[in-house]
Amino acid sequence: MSDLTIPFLFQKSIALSSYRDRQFRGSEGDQDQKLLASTTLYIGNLSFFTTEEQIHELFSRAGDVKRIIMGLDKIEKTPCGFCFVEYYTRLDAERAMRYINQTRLDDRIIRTDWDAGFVDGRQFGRGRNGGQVRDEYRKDYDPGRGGFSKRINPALEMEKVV
Amino acid sequence: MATKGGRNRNGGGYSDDEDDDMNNKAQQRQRSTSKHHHHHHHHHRSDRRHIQQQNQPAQQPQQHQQHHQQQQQQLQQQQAYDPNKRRKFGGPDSDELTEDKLQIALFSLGQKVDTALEQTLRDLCTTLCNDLTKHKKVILHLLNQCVQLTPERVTIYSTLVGLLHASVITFGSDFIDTCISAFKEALAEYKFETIQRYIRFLSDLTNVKLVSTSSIIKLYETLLQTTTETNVPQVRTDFFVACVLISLPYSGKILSEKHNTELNRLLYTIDKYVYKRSKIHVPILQVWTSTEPHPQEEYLDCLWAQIKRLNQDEWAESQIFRPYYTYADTLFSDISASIVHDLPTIILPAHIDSLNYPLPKIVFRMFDYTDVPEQFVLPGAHAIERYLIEDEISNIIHTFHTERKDCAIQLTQIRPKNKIPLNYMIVEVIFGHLFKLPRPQHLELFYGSLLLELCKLQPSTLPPVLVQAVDMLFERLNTMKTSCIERFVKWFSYHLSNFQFTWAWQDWINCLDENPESPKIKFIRETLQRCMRLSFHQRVIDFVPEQFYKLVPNKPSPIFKFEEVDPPLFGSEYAQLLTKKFKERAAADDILRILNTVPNLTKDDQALGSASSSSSTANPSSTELTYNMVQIDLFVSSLLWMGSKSFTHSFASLAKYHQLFKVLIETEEQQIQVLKSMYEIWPNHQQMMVVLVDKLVKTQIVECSAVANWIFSSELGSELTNFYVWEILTSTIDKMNRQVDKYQTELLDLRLQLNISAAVQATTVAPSHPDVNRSNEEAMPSIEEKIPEENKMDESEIPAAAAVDDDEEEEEKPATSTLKRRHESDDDDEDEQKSTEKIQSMQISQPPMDEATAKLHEKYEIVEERLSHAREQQKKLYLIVFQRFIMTLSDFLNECETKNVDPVSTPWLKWIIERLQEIFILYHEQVFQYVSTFESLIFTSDIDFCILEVFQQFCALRA
Repeated sequence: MSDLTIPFLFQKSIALSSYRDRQFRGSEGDQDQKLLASTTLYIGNLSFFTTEEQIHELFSRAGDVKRIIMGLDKIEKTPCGFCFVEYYTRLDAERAMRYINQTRLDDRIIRTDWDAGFVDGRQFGRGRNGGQVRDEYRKDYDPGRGGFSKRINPALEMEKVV
Repeated sequence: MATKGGRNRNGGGYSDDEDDDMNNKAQQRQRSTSKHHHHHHHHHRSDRRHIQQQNQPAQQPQQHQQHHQQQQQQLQQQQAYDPNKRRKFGGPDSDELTEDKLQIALFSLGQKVDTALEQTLRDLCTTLCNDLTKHKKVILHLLNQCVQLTPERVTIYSTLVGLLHASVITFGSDFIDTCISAFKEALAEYKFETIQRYIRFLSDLTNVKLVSTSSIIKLYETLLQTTTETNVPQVRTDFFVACVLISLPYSGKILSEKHNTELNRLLYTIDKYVYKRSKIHVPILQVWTSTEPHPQEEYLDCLWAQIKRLNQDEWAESQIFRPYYTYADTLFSDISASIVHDLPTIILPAHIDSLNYPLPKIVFRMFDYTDVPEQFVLPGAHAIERYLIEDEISNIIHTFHTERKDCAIQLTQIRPKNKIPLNYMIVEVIFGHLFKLPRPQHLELFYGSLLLELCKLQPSTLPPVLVQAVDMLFERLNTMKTSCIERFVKWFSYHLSNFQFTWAWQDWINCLDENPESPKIKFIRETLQRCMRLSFHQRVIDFVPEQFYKLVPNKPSPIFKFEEVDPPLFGSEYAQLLTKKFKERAAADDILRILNTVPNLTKDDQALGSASSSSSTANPSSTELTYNMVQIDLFVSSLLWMGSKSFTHSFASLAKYHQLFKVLIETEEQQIQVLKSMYEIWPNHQQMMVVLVDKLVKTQIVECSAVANWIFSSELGSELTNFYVWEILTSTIDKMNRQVDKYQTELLDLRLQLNISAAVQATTVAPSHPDVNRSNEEAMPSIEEKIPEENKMDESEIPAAAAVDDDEEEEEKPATSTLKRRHESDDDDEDEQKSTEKIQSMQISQPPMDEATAKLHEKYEIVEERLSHAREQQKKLYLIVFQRFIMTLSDFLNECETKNVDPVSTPWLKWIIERLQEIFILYHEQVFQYVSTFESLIFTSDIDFCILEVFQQFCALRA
């Protein structure tokens, strides 16, 4: 019914965060441009057990979801706590940023951020153990993300030294 | 997966969210430091990557710097956005008054947290006065924007304007001029919301001695003249009468002091009008079919009752925040040189038939004074305070709807007078918005996320109100409209999913013996279904008491009929073979070959029974058809079974064999067979069916009309009261409508281009252009300015319309590219780009002008034909839906008659007739286009009155 919005005061939920994909092919300017027009979101802090179906149920409440790409452990090929959600329109993606970011899915506060668009290979964790890098530096016990970090597991550390 | 149920859940309760927020931030921080670690590591390792890495540092400082700058910019922006911070206008580091700073200062003025408003206003007034000559245009423009965009702060802006008027002698007339021209523009363009806001603002300007009371009376008279117009719809008159009514709380007092006779005459006119209005439309808009305990009044009736009472109270109200009274010395002193201005005469634009006036509304109420704790006093239904606070809450929700956190903060900062229970009113208004018929103004998810923020902000006071509200809504489910129950289910499951599904389920145990189709049981069942969709089956089992198990949905696993039955079904061996072939990623040809080896049972007249659910007919003319159904069933069942692991697997299977679908399936019956086979595999996984049907329609394997016919088919009969069925139907209708909209916009664009090129041709005398064949960037000088603009529009449009369209092209592509589609990540975008390029090259490549125009004409004709085809399909779809509704309902009513049952006493009638209502009002804009066809063809006098009544109520909506 209404087309009234305040020109620029109400854009903070959809502003770019400070995170930039280091493996993006192209200049920082290109990346920002892509991010500002993107219809794809990166979703983080998911439980390893959260399924595509659950993600679809939540994110389709913001708009028509084009596809979901589950983040997988590079080695195990199992979900490793992130995904990409692509919408058909920018508007729907913005709605997800506004209303889903920092709310719960599977009892975890999830984080949404703009992504410059899915490129094959991005679905894999970039950590050296196959999962996400963040899980290697995590110090707490997180049952939704495989318990303790693999890196601070002394046995594994030993393995690496050998 | 088995470990899922045993997962440890971290956190709990409302206040934990803050901690989690902190956690997230800490994790982010941790990650950014971890990156440095990472780089560090690389430098110490002597592999090849190390060398590659070393090449980079040369650029990195620069990148870093850029990055840093950007971060700083963002930080600054964020600081500017922060509504919690009181900003001093023109701080020490800013000598120059920029438009941005002005905008921020003006828009943040009087946001609820601003406690020092009085001083801020004075400061701002001084600053503006100093810069008025230099920045007059900008200041006037921004003030107008404030008036249009932040209605909840209207009196603050009228105070500021009043102060400026009192300080600068020319300001008043300048301001009125820009104000009136913006108002006239809004009128000419029928911007209903803006019109109302201006009328209320202008009315309030009488309180700061800027606008004369006599000219406001004149304005009201003009608006009320519409009550004497003939042959105009009631919604038009309603709108203009409402403009006067919403303004009277602001102007009533001063008008009654100065023009009591005229005011009374106006009120008399309104009274007469309100009394004679038709109210046939009311029932279709009401949230509950019962008017107990709350009457759910028509909005104009209610507002009129409130204004009448306000008039009786001599226009004394206590809720409007009127900062202008604080400045009495400046504003109302006799030595003030300011002149009171008359408004020019306003002429209202005439009625146009094609115009969509705002639909009538009902006033949603769920609490009365007995529902709130003793220390509070909830204003009565007809107290003006009830309206004023509701209006303020609604306005804040609307202004801040894009930022849920700010929205929640602003709401909690409202300072209601006289012990008014603010949280009750906020919750009531939010539910009123959520349940608004035909649709909520904003995304349903927004209201849910707003309630989460409110719970976070007021963890001890808001959740109890919400719990009370849910219980009251639950108790009133029997008469609640089906579409509202559905929204209630969706919100409640979402809300629970954010609070570990903690709920006092035991409180609802005593309703478990009710009829399984009763609204309360249905509500619980559907809520658990949605909870499962947000979590998983075992989680639901874990959080409900045992008595609720019978309402817990089945485990959403697939059923492969060719595997499960003993002795095996006919065709089982072929199904096994197909499954094996699918696993081996066999080519479509191989699959087709196997399907063609399936023996034709009916032909050979072997009565062995059949795999297909619809193959029992012995009609010889349909044997070929039946045989084909068996093939389709085998193909679809095996394929979906193969892809049953996840959505992505299913979609990939559909995409891989898309061409085969196209070969096997042509007729609507065959399309329906696809849906039937899907239902046989997934009867326990509603969400899967929803997304599969969505994909089947988008990839044009199945047409919208087939979905509609399937939904009303006998196979789905027992499912018809379940909500997911209607989720599928509305999503299908949405796609159809989007398709029509898309062609419509395309056509409008082309029309625009044609007009332009015609104009260009008329003015261009030069026979040929030397740079005709240059690159795309250098358009012809004469159309240079227009074309880039249109390209931009095209580009932004294509993703919006991609839903149905991107798959449409697939149809024409060879099988390989279809298969490629799901594997290659950004293939879709490529398609889109290609088609954009195609269009662009049509527009930009530089043949002689008449050739370009000819091409445009050609394209115009193509789109025109597509549009008319799409509209025909759209009309057909609605016809099917309504016809099937009538058939289904009539069958049921007949059955009741033979069984001697009162149909009204059955829940079934409620579920179905209210879905009919829903389809009508949800799509009223589309349905109205074809209303005369529907009236003469299907909603004829021979159908049952309870069906016809829905149609009549719908027609009254826009009367």
